[in-house]
Amino acid sequence: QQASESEAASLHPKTDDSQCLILPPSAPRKSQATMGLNNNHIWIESDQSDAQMGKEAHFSGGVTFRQGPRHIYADEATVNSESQQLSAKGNLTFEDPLVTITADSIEGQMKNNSATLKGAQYWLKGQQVHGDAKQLEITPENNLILNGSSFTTCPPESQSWVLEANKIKIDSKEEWGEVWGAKLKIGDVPVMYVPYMTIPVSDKRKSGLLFPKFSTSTINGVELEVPIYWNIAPEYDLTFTPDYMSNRGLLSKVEFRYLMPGEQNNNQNGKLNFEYLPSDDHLQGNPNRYLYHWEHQGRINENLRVLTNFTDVSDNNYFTDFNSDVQQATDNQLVRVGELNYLNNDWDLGLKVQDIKVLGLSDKPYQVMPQLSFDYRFPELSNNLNFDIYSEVTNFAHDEDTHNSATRLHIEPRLLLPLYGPAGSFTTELKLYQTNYWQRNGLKSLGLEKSVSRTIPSIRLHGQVNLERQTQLFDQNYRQTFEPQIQYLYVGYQDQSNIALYDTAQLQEDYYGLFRDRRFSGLDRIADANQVTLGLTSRLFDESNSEKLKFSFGQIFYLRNSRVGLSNNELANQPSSSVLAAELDAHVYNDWYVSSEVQYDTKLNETRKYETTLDFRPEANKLFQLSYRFVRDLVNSNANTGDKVDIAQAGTRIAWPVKQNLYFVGDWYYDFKRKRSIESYAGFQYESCCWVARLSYHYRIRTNFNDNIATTPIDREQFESGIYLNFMIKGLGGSGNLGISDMLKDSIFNYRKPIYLTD
Amino acid sequence: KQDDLKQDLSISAKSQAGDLKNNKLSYFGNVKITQGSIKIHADEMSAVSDEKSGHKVFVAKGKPATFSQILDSGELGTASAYNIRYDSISGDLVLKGGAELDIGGSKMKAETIRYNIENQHVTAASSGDGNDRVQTIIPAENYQEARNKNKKSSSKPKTKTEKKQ
Amino acid sequence: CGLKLQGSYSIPQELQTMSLTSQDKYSKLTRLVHERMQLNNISIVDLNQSKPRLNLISDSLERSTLSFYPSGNVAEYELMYHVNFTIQLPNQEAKPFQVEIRRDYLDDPRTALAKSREMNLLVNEMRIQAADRIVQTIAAFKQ
Repeated sequence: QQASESEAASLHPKTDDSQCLILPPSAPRKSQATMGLNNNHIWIESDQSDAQMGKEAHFSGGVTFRQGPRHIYADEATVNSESQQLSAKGNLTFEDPLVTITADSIEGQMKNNSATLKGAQYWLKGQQVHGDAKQLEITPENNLILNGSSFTTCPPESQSWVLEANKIKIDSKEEWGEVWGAKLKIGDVPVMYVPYMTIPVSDKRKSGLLFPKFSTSTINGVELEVPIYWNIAPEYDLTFTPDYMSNRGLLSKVEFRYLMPGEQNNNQNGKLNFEYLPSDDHLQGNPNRYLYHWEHQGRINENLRVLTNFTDVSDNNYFTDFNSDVQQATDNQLVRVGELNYLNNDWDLGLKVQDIKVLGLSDKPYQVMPQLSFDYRFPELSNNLNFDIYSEVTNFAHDEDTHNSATRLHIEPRLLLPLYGPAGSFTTELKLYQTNYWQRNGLKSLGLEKSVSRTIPSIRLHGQVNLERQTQLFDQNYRQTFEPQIQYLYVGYQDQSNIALYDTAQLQEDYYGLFRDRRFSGLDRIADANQVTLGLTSRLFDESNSEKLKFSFGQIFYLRNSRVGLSNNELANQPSSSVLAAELDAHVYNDWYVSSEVQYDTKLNETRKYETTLDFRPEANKLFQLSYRFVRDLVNSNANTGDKVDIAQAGTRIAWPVKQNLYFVGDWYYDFKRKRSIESYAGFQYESCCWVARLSYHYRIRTNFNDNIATTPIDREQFESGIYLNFMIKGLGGSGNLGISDMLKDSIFNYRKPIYLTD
Repeated sequence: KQDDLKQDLSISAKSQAGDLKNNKLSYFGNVKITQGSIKIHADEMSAVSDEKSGHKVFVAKGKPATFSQILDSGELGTASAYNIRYDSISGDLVLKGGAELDIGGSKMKAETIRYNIENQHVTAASSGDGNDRVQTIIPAENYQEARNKNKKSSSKPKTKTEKKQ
Repeated sequence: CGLKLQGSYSIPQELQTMSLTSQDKYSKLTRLVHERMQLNNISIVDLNQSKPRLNLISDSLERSTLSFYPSGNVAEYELMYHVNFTIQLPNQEAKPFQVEIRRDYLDDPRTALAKSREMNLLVNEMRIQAADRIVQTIAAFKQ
């Protein structure tokens, strides 16, 4: 189902946080700069001045000093033109685009723009970062070096935390700071001492300095995670996170990230992760647990894209047991892939190697070693007649010698004639699937042949009519459309039982599947077809022509049963029509949205799949959702017992601001078949001006995989529950609210794994 | 320059009045005085000189009256005010009322400025009511290069560097 | 019952000629949006200030979990395809939009390679849906 596309309600609210704004002291007086001024002059205004021309000039009485963008206000100042030295004291305020400083005294070197202030208090412009320093030095490169200093983002009247340090260096260009001898004090209790660390001074790099995560859970026991962020250079940074678990030991996680910026945003980036826990106390035999991961992605130039990804772990349940930075247990595969794609207007060339390690499964999929794909699109032949050719050659390999290997060459020319008008469309598509296989050490017993050639034609005719009328619903005018569709598909037949299955499986049937010309993914099985698909879509558009409701349904009628299947027993009792698939997406009433999908088996008169979601999204940080899913007879492949099981699961999610800066996030998912809850999460996030605290309770099902690392097969815990306390600094880079988007991500249903697109 | 005061002095004006008793000469209307590199231009000018000591005091008034002199360093020093008083013995030049002084690129603007030509010592003061404060501009020579190095800007602006003596 | 053939694409008058720019001008999405605009006879011109502009900023794909087997293994995943783009009328502020297309698909670790092919197929279908929604957003665009 698909969400409506109105401007997404972002989860970063603009609540009133005026009391969080920390304003530096404003300039003590206005200047009357009447004389023409350019950057390479020093301009001074005062009540009196006493100067020895060319040597030293002394100013007193409300002195205002300006050099380029810099202003200094003081009671008295002395400028030595010969040595280009400046000194001032008395109610001293220094201001430039980066920082506002009040201090006892200043010694400035006008030649190279540097200055040293004593007894300083500083406020970074446009941020909540401020503090004081016994001595503050402004370097020629406009960086700040603070000795005997403090750093905080809390407003002066409620100083919840402060970072005291022997030395802080703030790089104004890269907007990050290095801290030597850092002592974190909460209230005025010293809590943490770090000899050296770096802190982001704006949200340009890392979001907020991550502070300790504290939790107790039924399995890992008491857990303390302290991320230390180190900004090595503008393009590299490293986060070292010791993660101590009382029941297991100390897991050290290191994440090194690198950027390779190119021009016209042809950038590449990547990261390296190492995670290691020596002798896990919780498991029999105290095995070592480790992970290493490398990913690299980006654009080398306008046409060339690159992607590499490799992960390996010590055992299948690594992600189940640990809170890894790389992925979660719900991703049950370790993808090892390398891709190079060269994209162009008329043709694309792709090179790919791929191996997938499936956690907990003994038999492994074929490896693609390599695959070369070439897609050529001829410029439009005559009026909108399109011709393109997709081709690929793939070499399949396999570790175990029980499986054969093969090379497959596939060429798929396609002729497409779309006739498109507002009243409807008629599309003709002619395709030819030409595939050749060279199967090596093919097992005669499986009926495989050394070389196979398969040539299958396909014709697809798709017609659609767009009808509309004005109508009224709840005294609102709508434009209602009716769009009936009919598609005829003919695909030739060829016996393919002499071809092994390399990258082919049954495609899922949903509304969009009704109009596909393929029944199987991959290329090893092209199902013959002689079928008609009927479908109808109806939409409601409001006066401003935005879609408020869309309802579609359809069904395939097989004029002739397909004679190609993945295994022969499957072909026996085939139905004469597909499931009736329907989809509804509606923006029902101001902030209520509903979307649901159903697949109904008209032959057996039973629902194959049903799912619906009701959303109430009035504004940012406010969400109420109810969802229910039912799927019949799913093969639980992990248990590889092949038994069929039904999924019946309901869920609710709530995110609601309780008070001005106190949010509640909760969700609860229940499995009707086993009559137990799968996940329940309740979390409170308190957001003050300069820190965020999050206290949550999380009970969830664990994804366990068969494993053999522990000496004796242990029955792994099926559920885990824990209390989690998370504390984060806020106020770096503007004083906006953090919102709760990352709190929502804690739930196992909400964790969103990014998948990099290379085309 | 140092020997300006030894040069001969020429004065031109529309009209002239003499008050021999107090040894005071007054000139009115577009008064121009030159002595060596010193040039004074004013609406009204009076000069009181004491024969014995050769002590001369000039008082020029104008809207504004102007004074300029080529300094030993070769630079031009200019001054202007509604009332300029110059004392030849002490070498003090006192500018009162919208005073402006420009010596070797360093400019100064105030209610009253006292500039001693011999020792190049300048003091200035505002009238205290806050709206005509002393304003001083000092050219910082290689401030520009420092900024360029900082900004790595492509175009390099030309800077005229005034020599200091 | 008042039904009649749809007369026009209902693209607002001032948006019937637009320029199409993209952060990734050779990507499949850019090509699909270009095709869809032409099919809805929006004529595409080079970037110039006097014409409205559709700018494709980014597209991204994410996967999350929808349901679990009793054993705790994942039964269904959900793919979410996001496109961020802006529509800008001549000398006016560019207005940001986001389109999100969701599709759920079954997981079957025994056919992991086939499932990764299926995912590519689904992503291409979602791109076509996203291109259609972008043209719909143009049709519904009001300053």
